Amino acid sequence: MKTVLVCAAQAPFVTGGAEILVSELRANLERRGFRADVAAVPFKWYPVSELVRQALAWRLLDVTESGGLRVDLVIPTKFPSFLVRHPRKVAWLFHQHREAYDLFGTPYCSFQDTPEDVQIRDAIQAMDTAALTECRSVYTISRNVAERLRKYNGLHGESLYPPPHHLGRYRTESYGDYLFYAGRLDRLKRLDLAVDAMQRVRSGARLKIAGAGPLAEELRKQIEGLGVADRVELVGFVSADELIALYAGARAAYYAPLNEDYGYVTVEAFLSRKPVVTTTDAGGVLEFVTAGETGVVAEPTPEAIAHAIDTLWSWPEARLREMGEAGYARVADISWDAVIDRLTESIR
Amino acid sequence: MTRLAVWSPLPPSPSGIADYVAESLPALGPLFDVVTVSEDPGTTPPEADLHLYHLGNSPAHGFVYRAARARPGVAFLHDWSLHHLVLHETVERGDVSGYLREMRRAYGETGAFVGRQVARALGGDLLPALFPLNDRVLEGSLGVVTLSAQTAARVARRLPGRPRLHLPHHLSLPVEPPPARADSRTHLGLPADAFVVTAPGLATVNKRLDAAVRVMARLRADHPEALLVVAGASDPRLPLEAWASAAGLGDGLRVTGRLPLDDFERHLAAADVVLALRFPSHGEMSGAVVRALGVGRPVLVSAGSAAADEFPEGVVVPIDPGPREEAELEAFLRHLHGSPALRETIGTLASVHVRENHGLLATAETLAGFLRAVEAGQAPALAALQADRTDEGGLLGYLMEEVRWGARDLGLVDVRLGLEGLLEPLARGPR
Repeated sequence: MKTVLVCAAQAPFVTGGAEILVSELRANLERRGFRADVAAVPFKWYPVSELVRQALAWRLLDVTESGGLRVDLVIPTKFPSFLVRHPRKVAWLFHQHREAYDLFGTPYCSFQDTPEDVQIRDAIQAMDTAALTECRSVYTISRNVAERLRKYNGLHGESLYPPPHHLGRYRTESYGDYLFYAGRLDRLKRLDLAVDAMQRVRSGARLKIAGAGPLAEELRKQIEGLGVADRVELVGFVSADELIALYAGARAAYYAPLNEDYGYVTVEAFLSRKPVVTTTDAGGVLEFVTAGETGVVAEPTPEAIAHAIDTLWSWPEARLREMGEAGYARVADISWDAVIDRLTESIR
Repeated sequence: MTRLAVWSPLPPSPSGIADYVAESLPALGPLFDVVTVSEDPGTTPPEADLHLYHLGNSPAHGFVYRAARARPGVAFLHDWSLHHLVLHETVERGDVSGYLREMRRAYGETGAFVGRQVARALGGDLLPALFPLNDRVLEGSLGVVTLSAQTAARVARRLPGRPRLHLPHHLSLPVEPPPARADSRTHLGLPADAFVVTAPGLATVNKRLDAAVRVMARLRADHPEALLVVAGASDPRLPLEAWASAAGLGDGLRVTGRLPLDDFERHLAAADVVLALRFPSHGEMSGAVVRALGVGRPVLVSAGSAAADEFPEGVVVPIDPGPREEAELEAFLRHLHGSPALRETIGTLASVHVRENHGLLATAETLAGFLRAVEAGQAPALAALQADRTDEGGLLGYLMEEVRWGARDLGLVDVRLGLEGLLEPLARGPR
């Protein structure tokens, strides 16, 4: 039985998409007959000055064998786990440390424009390039992540879409009167933009936001401040059954993060046969959403998003269903078997 | 004979260390082929079998610091903290980033935070004292000499395996035997019947003269013959006159300005009590204290300072630098004022102690023995230091420093980590 070690950088007490993905990768490796385990090293992304030091912890580890058992393959996932040393390293890149890349110099970045922080950014980029070059193959969770890799590191990555958590359970029931978002409430998801847009819609559309995160309180205040509590609802953390039901009853999904790596929301919405409202700068989301075919794509302003929502609300259900089916067709072949086949190619 | 390069500012550089080194050179002369380097030699440092770096916490030692970092030798630490020196070598030369790197390298994120405050002149006096920034010279040294047990113990904790020497500060008196009190006062124009309290050396903010001025003013209210003499130059930023005026000390304060060494000794001899307070202490051992003890005067020092730890209680009189400092100082001065016999007893104990333990020739012999031992083990020590050196300007050096920080934090300074093989591929970039 071949052994596979999945390498994960984990912020203790935080469970998000990446952690779920790692756990499912392991489970599916086992399902396919591999002996799999996860090596997770705690990672803290602040203060900026400590990033390189934290990252280098991976470099000091020997994961070539464990207790006499040879590790045949390591699969690093996100920064900085791909700094690990192993003769057979196949990366499945969730994302790099984006503050050192595309987010550098934006309001979403905690790096300062100082020689110290620039040195750290350059060191991260150089280390990433060198460490990913050591890999037998580099796969990414989306074309967007692969494109960043090409742009900043000059490396080729092949996209390998991960299936969402509840694959096989998504369904559709109706095209109701609400837009739906499910995910972490953090700044990069730009839900503030959606709330702002909801003040401007004229169609009677409502927005339901499921999930928790650091921005919850801020969003609550924004909703109250703008007087849109009657049309925007923070439903909080929901169970798997509730999540699937909320997708099933939604008119469409809303997902407009800034240059998203991949975006489960899109795939979940399409598997629920719902169109998606997004923006022109949403990154990985746009690998799936085609304006007018599988959703609507607006400029990232409250006015444009409000207009897109009103447009969506003006369409008959038949058109929404048609778009939902087109979306479903777009993601129907995303499967764990496809992922495992590619990642383990070198040891099968 | 071993060729020994002695790096230090020398007189007329206004530094106690310059005086110290100048005094020690005649004693080292017969023991080594000594070449002195008293200013930056530029690109042509002297050839020598061994380099001895006298390091103090002042800009005058900048060239010594740079040399000590460039080529390993014996670091003679006159001060535990080199913070002001490093600050001068970086921030005051416009290299704030370099200073922040040093602070972070030595003290992690806390260091970077404090460094940002200090670089903006918001650190006060206390913060630099808590972050001595001496790691570079300590880690790059073949051996370390200190003038106090306190500093030697700190070196031992930082570098457990590195050769080190606690060398008693030598006693050097230009006028020997010391002049009598009365003669000195006549020579210096001080009143014969005054109760003279002398604060020797450069008057700086950490010598607690504000407290001394207030105490002396209260003493003088009861004893008009009390006189505070600052025997040395005064930092121009120190408002001594304003303090004296506010406290009502008036003409009970005299400031001599910088003195030739013989007159400096006469001022010590003319004193009834010598005041050598220092807080915060940077671990420095004061030559003035040793001289004052040598001429047989009771010396009041700050408790917790290197001088207080170096000498047995009874040889020096420690004053707690805490909130009760002023009250304690006043009580001691009043007591000593009223008891000439006690002053005499303490002074005699002091003189006997330093003459037995701090002789110039004996300390030079001790130092020479240490230097010879270091020289004998120089080759493997140099090889070990060299093996762990990396060009810090490059990515590999940066990455190695990042990992070494964790090791240093655990006290593993002299442990070879074997990092190069692990990190070099990351720094080399794509093949």
